[in-house]
Amino acid sequence: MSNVEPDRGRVADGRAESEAVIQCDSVSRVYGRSSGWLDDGNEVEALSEVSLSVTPGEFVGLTGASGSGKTTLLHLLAALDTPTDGHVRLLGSATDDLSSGERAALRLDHVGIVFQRFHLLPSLSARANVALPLIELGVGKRRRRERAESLLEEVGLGDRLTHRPGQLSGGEKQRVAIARALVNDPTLVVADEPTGELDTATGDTILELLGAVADDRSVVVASHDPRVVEAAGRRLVLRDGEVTDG
Amino acid sequence: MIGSRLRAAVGVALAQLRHYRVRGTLAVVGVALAVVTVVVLTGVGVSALTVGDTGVDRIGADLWVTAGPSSFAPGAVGSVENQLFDAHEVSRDVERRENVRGARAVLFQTVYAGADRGDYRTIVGVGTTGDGERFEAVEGRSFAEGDVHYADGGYDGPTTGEALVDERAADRLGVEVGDTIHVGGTLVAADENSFTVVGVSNDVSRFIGAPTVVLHLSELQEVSGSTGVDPASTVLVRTETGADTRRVQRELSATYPELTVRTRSEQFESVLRRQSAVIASALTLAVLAVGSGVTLVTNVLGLLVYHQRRQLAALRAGGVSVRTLLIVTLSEGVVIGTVGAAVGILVAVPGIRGVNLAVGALGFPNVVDAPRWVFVLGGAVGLVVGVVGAVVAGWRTTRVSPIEHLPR
Repeated sequence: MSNVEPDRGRVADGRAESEAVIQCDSVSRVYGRSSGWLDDGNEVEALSEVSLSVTPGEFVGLTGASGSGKTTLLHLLAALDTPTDGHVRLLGSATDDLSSGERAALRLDHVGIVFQRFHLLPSLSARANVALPLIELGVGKRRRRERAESLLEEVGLGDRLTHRPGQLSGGEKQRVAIARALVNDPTLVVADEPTGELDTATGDTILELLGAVADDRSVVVASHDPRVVEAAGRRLVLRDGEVTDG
Repeated sequence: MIGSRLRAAVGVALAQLRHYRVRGTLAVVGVALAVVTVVVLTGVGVSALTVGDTGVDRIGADLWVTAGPSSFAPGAVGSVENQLFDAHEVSRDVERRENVRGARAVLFQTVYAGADRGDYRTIVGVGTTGDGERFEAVEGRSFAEGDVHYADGGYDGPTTGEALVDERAADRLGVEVGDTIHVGGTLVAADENSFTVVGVSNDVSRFIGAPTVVLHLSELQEVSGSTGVDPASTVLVRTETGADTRRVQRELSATYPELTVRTRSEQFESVLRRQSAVIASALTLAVLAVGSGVTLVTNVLGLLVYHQRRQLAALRAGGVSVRTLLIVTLSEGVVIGTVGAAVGILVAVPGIRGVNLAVGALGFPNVVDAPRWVFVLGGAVGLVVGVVGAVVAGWRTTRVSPIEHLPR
């Protein structure tokens, strides 16, 4: 159990719970839990009774050692996964009540995700990679193009629109990934080790960019990088699956 | 909205294939090979069926009397073990029967033939009773008189020395109407027996499927040294107009219990049975080719899905649905199938010409006969190969999970 600071956003800012972008109540995630009468005894508790909330405009830095449960918590916050115990509410919807398809729709509409290794399709240009999620939303070609170009301009890649990932540096690829995460104008952006593959200078640029992103949306970044924690307005430390206040 | 998503997904598919050119080309080659194989082998099957069907029709007999259930078939020349004997007497006796308009004994026998002594080719000698009226000459004429050399079994009547050749035999032997050719069952017999080419007729060769020289039956028996038993491969019977062919068949079967009497359709079935090995082989090879094509496309697209599993997982994490990713994979399959089909058909056209030229040089012309519908079938097969391969690869796409395929 370990929500040392269960609800800092609400406490610090005095916001009502209903205003929270994300609300976690005693969330646990156990891997390998048997659903039948056979118990293989290989359960791993990645998270234990974590409670927290993230309010609009917050930039939360999530840090901790490898295996502490950072990525697991990010997956739960982004509705990629559901808790084995407790509840995660994303924009008021309890994710464990939603089907896989409904969670996908929720992510499509409200969540942007940035990965450590960018995961861009190598066959597509930067512009096409950014526009990909808009295909799912049924946005027309011209609007997809305009939106992608506008975001790439914002992240400083206006001159790299037609470049493929193989023609971009690591920092440029991550900026494309950030643009892709923002293309659906999400309420929440989660980033997993966004500076993990980058040199210091490039990492600083990415952090500045994420800081700017947090101006009008909530951002949760998991990282080993102490600079990330410094850049974040709020720091959470995960240790052995439990959250402590940084 | 659906149209917009479909167009965009197809655009992604095209970009993928452009980017992974080697893989895409490999898959297209696989589909094209399947298409070529299907077109050529279907063409072989069509040719086999057509030769049997039109060949049996062209002979124009209502009943076929042979010495065994598989006494001969196009391409199976001679069938010595199943010859019937006393052929002239049998045909004459059949011809005298009620409801029979005519009967002729026909012998198929491999012979040596050449325009010059000592320069011989092996072709099919066809001996026939009657005057050759049923042979339609494209040049010259048919036989002037009947099989007079037989002379009631004495083989001492005048020899006509007349021969009909088909166009391929004429080409192969380098002869034309009016030329002399040497024909014999042995090289020595060929040296000693010469005939005059009186006409060019393709009637029998279309049934046999090989170059032929047609002689009077007794003269062929003479030059092949078989006058002692008066052999023939078959007796062809024409019934009177309006006669009950089945009844004639039953009567002949009763009179000649040792012989087999078939109607035209039964003879065609018999030919078909003889061709069944060819058709079964062609079908097996075609199925294998299609299976190989599907496997190759599945492999190529499946590897692409595996190679991009993290990118696809990231897209699914971002809310892109499995359906959209499936459309991309299926579109890749459709493009590969369509291009492969087009390439396959383009290659099949000269391929068929090449096969026909090569096999034709061995004496078996037009082994592959591919009408337009065969090419349409090939194109459809190409598309199906691409789509089926993509469906199998698409199944892998549905297994991509953001949780499992993204590093934790």
